[in-house]
Amino acid sequence: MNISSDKKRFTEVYNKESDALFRFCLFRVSDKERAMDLTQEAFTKLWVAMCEGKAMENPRAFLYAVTRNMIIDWYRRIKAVSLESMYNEEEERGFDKADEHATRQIEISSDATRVLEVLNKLDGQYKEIMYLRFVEDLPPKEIAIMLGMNANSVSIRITRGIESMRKIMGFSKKDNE
Amino acid sequence: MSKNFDKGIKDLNSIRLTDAEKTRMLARIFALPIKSPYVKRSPVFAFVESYHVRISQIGALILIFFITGVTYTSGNSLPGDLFYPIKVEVVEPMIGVVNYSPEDKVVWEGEKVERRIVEAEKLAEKNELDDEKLSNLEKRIEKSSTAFARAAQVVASSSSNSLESRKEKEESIKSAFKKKIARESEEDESLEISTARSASGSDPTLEAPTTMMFSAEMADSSITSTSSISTTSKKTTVKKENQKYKIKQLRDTAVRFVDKEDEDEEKSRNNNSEGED
Repeated sequence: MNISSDKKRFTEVYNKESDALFRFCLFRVSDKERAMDLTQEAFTKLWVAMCEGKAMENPRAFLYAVTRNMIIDWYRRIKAVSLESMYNEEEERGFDKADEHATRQIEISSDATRVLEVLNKLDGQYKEIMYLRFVEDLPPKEIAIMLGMNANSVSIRITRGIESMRKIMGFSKKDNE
Repeated sequence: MSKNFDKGIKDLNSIRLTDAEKTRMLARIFALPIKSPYVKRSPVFAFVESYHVRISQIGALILIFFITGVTYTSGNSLPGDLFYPIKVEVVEPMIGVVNYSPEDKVVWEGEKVERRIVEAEKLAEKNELDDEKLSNLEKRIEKSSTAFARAAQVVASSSSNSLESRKEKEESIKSAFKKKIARESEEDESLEISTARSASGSDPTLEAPTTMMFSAEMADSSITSTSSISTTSKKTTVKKENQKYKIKQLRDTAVRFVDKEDEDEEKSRNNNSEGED
């Protein structure tokens, strides 16, 4: 192994995963610039790990785990700032509040917006799984590895998530049949 | 679920980074200063982290602890002890090197003489002051007294230009030393007298342990207990007197060798003057 082979491997992973990761970030933070920053940060962490010679059996799982943690941190920071701003209403803060119903600077169709609305209305435990299953078209086993879960529990959540989505969209089982 | 929903998913899936954005992002990631394990680094102090150096550092630390321990232990050692040679051949010469100025040397050599006398007294208390140890101590006292006298000369010569004042200064240093030695001797004697008085006057049974030591021999030779007590006490007194005499000898040696330099100088001066005549 040398630096050039590492670069080659990283570039392959980057080309394969960057769009999907960016979409995932965008789905979670609803801000293009923020999503790009998070994507870059996640890939930087992957690159650092590869440079340090850490074994990277599943780079995709690594990327999603890192990204999820960063998003959680980001939401925590936003929350802290919002609480602070409650006490200083006069003071204007330069932070964007995460908007769950809009994706900034990206033109998306009304159908896509409707899908996002439905996904965002889902319970937290189904939201990510349903996104990865239907938008990224990943199998439950892969989702389980990425989220550090059991494949069975992922499948159960997908089933329950579908039921929740039907309810949100106003469909019944009969309609589907 | 519905066609519209499937279309929405397809639309979402078509959201991508542009090629320019991707290239820019990749370039930024590669431009970051990341330490690579493939780059051979040779920092100046890298040897400090090496295995052998660490082992030697630990060894040095252990050695330092050992030396400190031995030095500390040797401080209270007496002639005949295991660490005594370390005290007189290693530790004290090192202290002597630190006290290199004539004034410090005067103090240090005087202290060395006192130390030897104290050692002799401690040995005498234990009844371990034999002839060999005595002669050994005597030699060391001679050496220290001579060094003291020389240092006193240097101090005196550096203090004044005139011969008389130099002599006076030298004499004052020496007489202070002699007085100190003599005072210690008087103190010891007075202490012994008071101890003997208290022992004999208040409780005669205080001498019982000494009597007990000799009682078996005394019984065999069928000597009465009264006479055995008197013989034992006589023996002890003689022994004590003997030890006291030996210590006095050491004190005399110290004083004698302080003056010996002067006597030698005077003799050589007389010889020279006779030769000239």
